[in-house]
Amino acid sequence: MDDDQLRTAIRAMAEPRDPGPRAHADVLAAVEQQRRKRRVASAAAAVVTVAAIAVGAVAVASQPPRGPAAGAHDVELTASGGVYGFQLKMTVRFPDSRQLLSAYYDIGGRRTKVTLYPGDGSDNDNYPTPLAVAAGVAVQVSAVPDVSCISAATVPELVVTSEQEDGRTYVDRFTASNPDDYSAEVTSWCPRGPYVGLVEARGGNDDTAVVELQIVNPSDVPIHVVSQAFNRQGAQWHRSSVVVPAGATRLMTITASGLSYFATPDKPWTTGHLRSNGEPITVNSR
Amino acid sequence: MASFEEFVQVELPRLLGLAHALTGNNHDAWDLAQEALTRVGLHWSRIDTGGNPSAYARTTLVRLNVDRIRRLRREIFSDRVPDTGVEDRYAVAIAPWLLQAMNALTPSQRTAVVLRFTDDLDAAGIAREMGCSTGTARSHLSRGLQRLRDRANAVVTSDLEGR
Repeated sequence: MDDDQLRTAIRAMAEPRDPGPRAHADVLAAVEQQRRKRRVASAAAAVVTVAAIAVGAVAVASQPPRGPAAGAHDVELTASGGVYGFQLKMTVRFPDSRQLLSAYYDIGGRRTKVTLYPGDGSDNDNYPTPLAVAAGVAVQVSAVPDVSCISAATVPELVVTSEQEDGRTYVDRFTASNPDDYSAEVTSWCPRGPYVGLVEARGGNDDTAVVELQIVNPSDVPIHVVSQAFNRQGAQWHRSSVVVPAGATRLMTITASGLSYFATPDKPWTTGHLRSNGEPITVNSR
Repeated sequence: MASFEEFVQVELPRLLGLAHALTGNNHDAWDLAQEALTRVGLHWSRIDTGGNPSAYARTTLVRLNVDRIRRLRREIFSDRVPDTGVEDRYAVAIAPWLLQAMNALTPSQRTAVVLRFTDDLDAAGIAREMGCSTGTARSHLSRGLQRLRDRANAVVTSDLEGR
């Protein structure tokens, strides 16, 4: 396939599409709703959203610096369990301009560090550290920490270390104003695991395939996940296994040969060859 | 000066098409198009008088797609083919393997490839639209194209062997 053929196909995919009879009205209603929200919120300053992503469940060994001033605040915690883990999100503000130095979620002493970066659509290779935040500006901090069923009883806390212009260091602790929502979400999410997410599938010209799965184990016991070896239609899938501790997430790599990955419908998780403690599991199982 | 309502009438189908090419599924495409237009609507007086609303809306949509990718938190190569096939009809016949191969690209690779061919953008232009460095855009584009070509070669080889 040459570039001209590809261009034709992709342009066809991007052809204008009929949005349906109510679409225009829905857009206008959404704009009006947003305008109304803004009027109600009427934040003193323009709200610039700043987002953060987790860099993995990292135990932070050293204590954050303790400053002369620190604060504790109650804010709403959004908790949402899914195939790829359990996401926490808080939106916080500071009464004055700050340089945010670091932040982490603390669940019963277990810390998940987050990396701050601007959520304004930019995608710089180097995110600013520390992150400057003006007074009153909303900072959205989200993370996907390791969470298990027993975590339901321990509501996360967000700890942010920041520095004021005069050089004073602050440690602000943000606690959930809605702990019951968090506990309910954990209780609903954890029994339905383990969760298997397809992270990557690569197929090469040499008839090999590499599949990477993410296994989330929210239960309170370790699980042994095995992808059994099997042959199907000339394709040979090789054995792979991983132990996922309680409340942890692990990646699992499975390799295959003698096939075009995308051409075969028979994959370990569609044929009962992917098992957790002996029980078949599937990708995106819930 | 056009009204925002008129702008929505004209641009929504175009944005929906671009969003569909970027995401490969109708649900995310609609969310992206609606959110992009909502943002344009909130700043309509400024955008309409001071700039190019169509270009602004397209860039906003692409950036929102980058945000969507971030929310996914990891590049998901998927062999799940979401919401395509049955309900999608294109102006020209598109080989099923190509639709599947597009769905198997990472979201960033797909974005780079789509911008390359819908807008004839080079790496620098793609980088501007995606809000990333030129090197990053070049990498997404190069890897995305390579994966599509690998898949095309595999299909040709398979066809030849089948004869």
